[in-house]
Amino acid sequence: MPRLSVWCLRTALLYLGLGFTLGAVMLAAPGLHLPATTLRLRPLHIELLLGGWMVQLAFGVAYWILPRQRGAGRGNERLAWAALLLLNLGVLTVGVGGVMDASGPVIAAGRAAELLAAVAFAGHAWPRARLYTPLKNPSSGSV
Amino acid sequence: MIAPVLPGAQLWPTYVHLLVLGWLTQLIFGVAYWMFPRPLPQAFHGERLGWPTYWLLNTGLLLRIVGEGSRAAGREMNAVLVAAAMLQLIAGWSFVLLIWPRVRGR
Repeated sequence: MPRLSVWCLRTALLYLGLGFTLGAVMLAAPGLHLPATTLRLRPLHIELLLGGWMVQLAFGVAYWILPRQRGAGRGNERLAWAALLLLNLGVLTVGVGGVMDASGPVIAAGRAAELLAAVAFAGHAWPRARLYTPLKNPSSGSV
Repeated sequence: MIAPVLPGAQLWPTYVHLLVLGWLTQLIFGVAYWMFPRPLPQAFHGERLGWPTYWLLNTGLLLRIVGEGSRAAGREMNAVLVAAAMLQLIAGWSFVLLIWPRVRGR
């Protein structure tokens, strides 16, 4: 598994654990007599699990498993790293900003980072999404 | 928005979690368990956590349906929801422990 995928997938797993933790706290809040403000964690819970866990997991698995390009291995690696950084920036900005009632521009900036992450990852993966033809020279890329 | 047309908007979280947790997340858990690289011999082997994760996740989800369904019907079952939360919490971290050693380079 390439380094970028390891980073993506391990970060996604941490977000999964944190997202489940926040969800459990909110679900148990009435029974544990926690304050109603606990429900304000919801935006972070949603961002961590949808963006941080699911989307990031998809990035990591796609980077690892999509067909490699002849002579170019996994293609434009910088775009994929940019997508990873922008996604995390966006998820944390929107999630934490939502909990703290951040102003509209802050949330918009987070959403813009998520949008750019999607564009960057699509730019990376587009040439690799093609009909499969086995590489004649397997040394042109690593597994 | 779909929520207002559902019979009882109070069941909206139940509906969302059935799909996102019961379907999508569980599908990911199953496929990751199947296709991620095997752990190295010297690494922590969390294979025994597979079945407990499955049962904890699904029992927690079923308890959630019972608890939120009862609430929507006007009868609070907070203890059931606390149990559902604990089971799902343990299931989530159990999956993290199970898969972490299998996310690795060559």
